[in-house]
Amino acid sequence: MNHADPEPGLTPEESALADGLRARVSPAAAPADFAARLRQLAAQPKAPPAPAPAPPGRRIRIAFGFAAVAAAAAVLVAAAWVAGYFGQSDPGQPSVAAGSPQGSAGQGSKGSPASEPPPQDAAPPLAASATDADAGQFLAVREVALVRRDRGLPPVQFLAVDGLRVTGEGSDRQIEVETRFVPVILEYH
Amino acid sequence: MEQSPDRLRDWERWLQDHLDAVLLYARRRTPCEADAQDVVQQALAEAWQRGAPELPLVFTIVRRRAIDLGRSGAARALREGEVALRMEPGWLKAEAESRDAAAFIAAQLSALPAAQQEAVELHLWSGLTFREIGEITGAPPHTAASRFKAAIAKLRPALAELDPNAPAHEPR
Repeated sequence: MNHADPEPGLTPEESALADGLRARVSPAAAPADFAARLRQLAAQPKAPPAPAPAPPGRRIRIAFGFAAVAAAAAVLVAAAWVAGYFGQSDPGQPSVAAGSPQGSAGQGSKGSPASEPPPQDAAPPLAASATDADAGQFLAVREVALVRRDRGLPPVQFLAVDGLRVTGEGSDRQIEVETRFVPVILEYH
Repeated sequence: MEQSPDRLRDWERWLQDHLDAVLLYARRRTPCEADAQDVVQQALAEAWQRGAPELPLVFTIVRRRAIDLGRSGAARALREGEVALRMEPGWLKAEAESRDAAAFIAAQLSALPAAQQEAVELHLWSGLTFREIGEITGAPPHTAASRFKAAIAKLRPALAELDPNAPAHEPR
């Protein structure tokens, strides 16, 4: 609305008619008990302002869902990084099962070799491709593939998984995903 | 927090000046008297939280609460002006003439399109400017004014019937 617009006016005849109408009828008085109730309303202590109602839009849920899943994934990736799942460039290095004699041998000894792998559970390595993406907690990535399959879209060749940002090929740049927990929107390039 | 005497006095004056018109506005947009009073009370409580209630704000809240009250098809039709607003003769009072005059004018008003009735209610009985009416109804000020002018033009014969001195025809 343009507040620079002048207030529209009435012609003298229109004003006279309006005045005539106003002089004849007016709103009936509110019921006395209702008016009394409203007077009491002002006498009451001022209540704190009501919290704003949650907007019903899905974007809030989506944002919350994305944040929750992203936080969970970030924790997982960080834990995996600490546990040494990433960055093992030597594929031939034998894995060390948790609780194995090798794994427990160095525990408690300061100055143990830095190259000594930390104890690992039998969890599969976190994925760098779609085929591995359903390992661990990367549910959303798997769901992308399922949704694409359900919609008849060609499968995406995921090239990398970085938290929840999925890099891959595909005609869609954004897809709505219903994970097991919350709806999220994943973007991929 | 106790309310100051000034605040209570302001409130009393506000109710005295505006409650009747606000309640009429709510009555015409809600299915029953209890709903109308609830909507007005909600609106006043909400507006009062923000300070002394400004009349356009109160009407805006009443309008929205009335729409929120019913999400039914009837409420939607009412909001979109597809059906006539309710008007009961007892909701208007005649100032100096017989009760019949009030009923007659109420009937004439009810025959107007809902948007025109709303413009009459807000401008005539609450003294809102067309800019304020536009803000309440979501229409440009000139549209609000046009609705009021159209309503007055349609009411002209009825007013002439009541008062032979009133202009009976559109001035040329």
